[in-house]
Amino acid sequence: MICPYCSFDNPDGTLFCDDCNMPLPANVNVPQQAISGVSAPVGNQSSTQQKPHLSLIAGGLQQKDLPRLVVMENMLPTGESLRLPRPPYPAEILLGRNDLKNSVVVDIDLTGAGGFQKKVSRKHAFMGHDGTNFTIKDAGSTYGTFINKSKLTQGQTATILPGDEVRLAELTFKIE
Amino acid sequence: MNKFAHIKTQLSQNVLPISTSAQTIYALVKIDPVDFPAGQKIPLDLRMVLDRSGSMSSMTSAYSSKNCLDLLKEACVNAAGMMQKDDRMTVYSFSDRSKLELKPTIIKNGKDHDRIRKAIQSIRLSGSTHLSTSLDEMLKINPINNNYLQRALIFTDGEVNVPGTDSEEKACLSLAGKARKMGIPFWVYGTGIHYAEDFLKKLAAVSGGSFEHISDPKDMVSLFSDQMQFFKDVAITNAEISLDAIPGVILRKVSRVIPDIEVYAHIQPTYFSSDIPDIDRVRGAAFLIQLEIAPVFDKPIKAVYINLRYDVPSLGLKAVEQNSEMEITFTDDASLIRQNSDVVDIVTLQGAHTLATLGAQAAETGNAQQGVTLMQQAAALYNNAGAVDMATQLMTLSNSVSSQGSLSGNSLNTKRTLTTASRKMVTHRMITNSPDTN
Repeated sequence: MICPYCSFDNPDGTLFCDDCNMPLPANVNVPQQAISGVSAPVGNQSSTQQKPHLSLIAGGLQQKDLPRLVVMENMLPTGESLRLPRPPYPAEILLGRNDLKNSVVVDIDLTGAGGFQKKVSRKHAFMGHDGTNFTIKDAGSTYGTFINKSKLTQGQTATILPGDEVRLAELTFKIE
Repeated sequence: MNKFAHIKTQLSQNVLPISTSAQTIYALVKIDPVDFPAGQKIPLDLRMVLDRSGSMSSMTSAYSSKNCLDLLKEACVNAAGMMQKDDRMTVYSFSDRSKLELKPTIIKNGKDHDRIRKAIQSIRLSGSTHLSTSLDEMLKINPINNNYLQRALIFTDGEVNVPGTDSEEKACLSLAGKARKMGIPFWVYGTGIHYAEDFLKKLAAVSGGSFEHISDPKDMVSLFSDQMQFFKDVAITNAEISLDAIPGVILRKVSRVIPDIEVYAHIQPTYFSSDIPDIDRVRGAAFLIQLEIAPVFDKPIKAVYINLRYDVPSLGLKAVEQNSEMEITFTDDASLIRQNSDVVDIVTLQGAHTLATLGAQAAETGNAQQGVTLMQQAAALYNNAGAVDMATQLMTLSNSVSSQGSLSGNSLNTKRTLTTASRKMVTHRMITNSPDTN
């Protein structure tokens, strides 16, 4: 279900956008004609709702166009996904875990996605973009960086093709 | 295993369609103490820490001879009058110094009530606001025994500022952490527009207690009275809830909605755990969980395992554990699907509260236009949910922000009042069965 305010793609049945918190229209999977005592979904009552300009809610961002790093476990998405930066992409996007006490600040912090438990190093890998695809190389991590189960050697930069599975230590993700 | 709490789960839909894409369902988990025999009464050990700084001399209205401190004393005397035999009361006041107004006094008879009343009425106005010393001294009071419900009630109308704001705030928060470990949560009240709202909320949260804004000092008597009644109704303490989701089920959002709305940040996708404030017999506690279900199920699943751990002080029981399971069923017949309007209403109220809070934050930080838009959206949701008074007040506030270009002055007091009211909307609706707060 695409949010009409910020274009974020929400699962069916979501009543408030997971990204901008605005109410979503009624889910088409749920019968609109309710039995007595059961009210219609809130999104149907749109007479008093005004759709604000996108820029007021989400800074004008078109979220559906931005690639995301989708965390996986046992081949299923865990629900954790992190937005990658907007183009033009920086030369190096550092993936790892923030450690403010030791002044380590990364571009994509995997702590919330279970990075610590899954042994992701603080400075684990660098992502880049070659104009067509994302690339990745290990940043000297302890437990290694893998593409489709092949471990990257020191200095090796690999291209991430659509559908490839990337693993940092024990944390797996795909780019979508 | 004896159970002393009802754990009841309601879903936003009776069944989910078998789907090829992820879908969302909401679950309301309600916790209520079982109606077990009262057992022994839980005596209350109440420690009051009260602001007597110069700002408390402000008059509450042009037609009243009472200032803020007068009303505070009245509220405290009234609250003390509700204490029963064997309860204990201690009163500290603070300005630039801490003062023990009433040493720990166990109530045995009417003379003790008189002594408490006189001690409170003798509190006098003084200088600036130095809270940490009073907190420190209050926490040093030895508990009587393990059977008492130890609680601290803290009131201020100003920013802590002695010796310096940062160091004073850090000292207070450190003491709040200490209080939590000692089992003495802070019930914090602030009034006016000059107190540091974020700091007081944090002070309450770190101690495991609660914060409330008092819109009009004249409301203090009734608020303190309600608080005392709540302490009497407490049946379960030191509670902790944990949620364990199975693979394929994600905890997208978790909020507490009763006794007030608090949206938890930074939750793990498949596991959640949190302390719960005191659970009383009147309101209980409730959590709203937004679940994301992967498109891999077509048979009934036990989607989330719920564990509850708690003490029952009136029966002298500690670390009682109870488990419950959240079951979800699936169907390929869309005509069988029905929504649960009670749960959807609560999702709506929580969503409206989030938007109102974001709108107020935007307005306070200078983004008036975004703030107005979000508040108006929240007002529309409240209106649709039947909370017309809340909707009207929110629209009035957004109009004020729109014309002033910011949120300040009296608008700030209004914002704090509305935030407090919206946080309690779900509880109010459940207790009064009324759609509005008035």
